[in-house]
Amino acid sequence: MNETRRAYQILLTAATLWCALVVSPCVVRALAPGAAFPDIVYAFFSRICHQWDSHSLHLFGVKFAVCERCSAIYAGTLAGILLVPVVRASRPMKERWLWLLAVAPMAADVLLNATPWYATSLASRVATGGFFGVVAGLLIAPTFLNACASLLHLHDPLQS
Amino acid sequence: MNQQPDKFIPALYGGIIMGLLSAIPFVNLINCFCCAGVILGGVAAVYFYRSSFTPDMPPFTSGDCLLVGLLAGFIGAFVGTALSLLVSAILGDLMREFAQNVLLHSNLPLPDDIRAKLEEAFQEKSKPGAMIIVTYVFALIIDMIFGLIGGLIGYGIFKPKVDAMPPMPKPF
Repeated sequence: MNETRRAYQILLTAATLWCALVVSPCVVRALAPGAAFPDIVYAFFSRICHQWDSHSLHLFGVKFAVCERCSAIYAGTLAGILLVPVVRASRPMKERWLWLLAVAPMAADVLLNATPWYATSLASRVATGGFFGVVAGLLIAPTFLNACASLLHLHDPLQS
Repeated sequence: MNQQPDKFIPALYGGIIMGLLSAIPFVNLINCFCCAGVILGGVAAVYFYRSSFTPDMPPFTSGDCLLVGLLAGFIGAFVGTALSLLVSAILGDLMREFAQNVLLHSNLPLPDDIRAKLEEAFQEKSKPGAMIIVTYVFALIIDMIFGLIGGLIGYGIFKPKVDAMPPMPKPF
């Protein structure tokens, strides 16, 4: 149980640091305008996000390292991980269906944007991304804890 | 019971998928969707890992899947970076001109900042050696993190039926 708690703390710390990294360019640029750190962070996240200014959240007039949707996903995942000890949910359906359910609103938001009848908005990007993130956090965290327990004991406690 | 199968080959397949999805022009835009290409590579590695099991082997664990995803990410970063260099060496100008014509000279209602970002990307010259190393290090970190997540998602999707919820830490 101690290992599970430690693994949970590591996961929570990693998720918090990741979210802090997303916001860090805004804070660093506000405190030290000439610092190179924000450029490094933007370059790092440019591999996984388009970082369009018009689709990004801003703090102190500086954009986040990722777009609104990605920011919502990461914040939602952190929230999901935080909720794991509180929500001891019994899974109502298979995990693959839960993943599909989580990704469906976000995929619909992206795909419908290609049609002339619908345009994504800040609210839709944050809501669908946040929903996906929370579900992802709730699904990934227990599996990660399970995996750590399995690796530390060199067997899966659930399989024995 | 027989021992579990080797993790390297499934991770190699997953890593190659990851690398292809990260390096092929336009296809690599999938990674703008929260690194979906890399996650998909991790899930694929777990799928191949599961396929290599025979009935007389002990079932795979979430720990195995975590390691397979992590290894796939490690391989994917190498394959992706190498393929990106190859693709830009062979097709660099062709792809750039094509994309430039399609996106910038079309009547698409692109916001100004997006148009500026695209123009900046099209004017980007080939990367010097130091930048390639930095790119590889970034790819390594990102691919290993998201490969690991892909491995965990893969376990959730393909796990053996005998399972239960793991013990949760008590609320603080």
